Amino acid sequence: MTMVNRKFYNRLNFYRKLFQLFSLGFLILIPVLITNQIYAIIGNLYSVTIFGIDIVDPAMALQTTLLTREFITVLIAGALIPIIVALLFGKVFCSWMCPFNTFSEYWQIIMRKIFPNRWRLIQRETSKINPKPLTYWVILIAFFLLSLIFGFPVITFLSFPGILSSEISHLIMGMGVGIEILVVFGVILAEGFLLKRYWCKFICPVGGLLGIFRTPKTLRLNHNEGNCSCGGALEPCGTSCPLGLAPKHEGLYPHCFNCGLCIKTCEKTGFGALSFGFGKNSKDKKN
Amino acid sequence: MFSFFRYLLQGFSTKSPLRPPGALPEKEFLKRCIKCNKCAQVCPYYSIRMAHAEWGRSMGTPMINPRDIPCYVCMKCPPVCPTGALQNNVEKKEEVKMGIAKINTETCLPFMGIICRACYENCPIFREAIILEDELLPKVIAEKCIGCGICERVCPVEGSAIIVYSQEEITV
Repeated sequence: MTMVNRKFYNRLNFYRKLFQLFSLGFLILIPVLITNQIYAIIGNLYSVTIFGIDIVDPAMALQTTLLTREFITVLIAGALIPIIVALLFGKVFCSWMCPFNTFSEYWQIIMRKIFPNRWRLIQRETSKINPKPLTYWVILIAFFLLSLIFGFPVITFLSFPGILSSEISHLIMGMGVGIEILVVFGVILAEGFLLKRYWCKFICPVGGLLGIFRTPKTLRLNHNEGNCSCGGALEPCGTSCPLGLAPKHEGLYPHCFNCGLCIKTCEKTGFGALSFGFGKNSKDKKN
Repeated sequence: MFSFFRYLLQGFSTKSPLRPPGALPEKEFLKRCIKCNKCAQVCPYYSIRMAHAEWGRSMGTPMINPRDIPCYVCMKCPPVCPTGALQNNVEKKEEVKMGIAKINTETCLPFMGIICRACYENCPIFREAIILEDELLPKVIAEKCIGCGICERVCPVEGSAIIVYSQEEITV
């Protein structure tokens, strides 16, 4: 059983990394096709039209609805696909597609290798406790309130996947790159030096809104306490988490984006205490 | 207090850029545009550029710099807009109102006695938006001008003697 599981979660992570590269390639492919007069796929991660089917970032749809106080059917219908995916699998957009996370994840791995001592210290602090979900919701709601008060789309400027994807398109279509991309890469670099992922954990409104769409049957991390026995001051699952969360402990959601790295690491230790499941496992008391 | 912050936000951008055809009034447009880039991507002439951070609150929104590449009013961009920031039902070029061209009579060649019909001959609303007074002096008919900026592009005068001002700049 465990051998099968180990293979499955290894392969899952391999496919995730492949998909991350594929979605970066997809963002490059869109402007390349357009410069060759093929308009089958247009848009970026704010909103993309694939063969006439609109897909809209739910955060953008909600913001525009709030600002205009009007139901724009294209927007609402376009937001349905990401919402359904989020209802089934959680925030997999972040872990499988978001270019900000892709860059940040690899940069964090490099920085962990450069500052191993500081990384261990940070892990000791954060490996037993998850950030409070309330902070996340308060920040998310504050941003939407800000855009309502100013009558001005604040969320658009905080959507880093959107900015990155549109800058990729600008670069390839020869429109030049703005200084906003420096802000995005500045955040990636700074978070690398701090060895903490504040943006994805607290601020990002795109992931925040996707985090709302959870049901009891959504894909989640299950922890089987009976099998969990590697223990120690540094839990392997905690150290493997790209967001620096504590997978075994309470309050994992809404921060966790179901990348499955902790499960892969757990399988490597041979205990297999962590697994994915649709809905709560009966053996799992926490979370 | 909010008005103060609103003032700060507006302070970032001093100019109001020329918007693609079918755009709503500037304030409404900024609320609606989700910066999805589709209008710029379908533009076959690469006329539509996306404003970068130096445009402040207009960052990421589509704009046209007519002296660089004007809008040739092919009307491919309004239908792709998902939010209606570019009104999807605008189909004819005559319905477009991006701005209004204004002639600087101090630099315009015919006003100095040199024959030039560049703007008159290239206007897409031919013989309606720009007319020649006395078969010589160009004149913009404000009601007919759609503000595409082709005249600004073709003007042989350095810095262009005919400049398109966006709707916002006219009303202010």
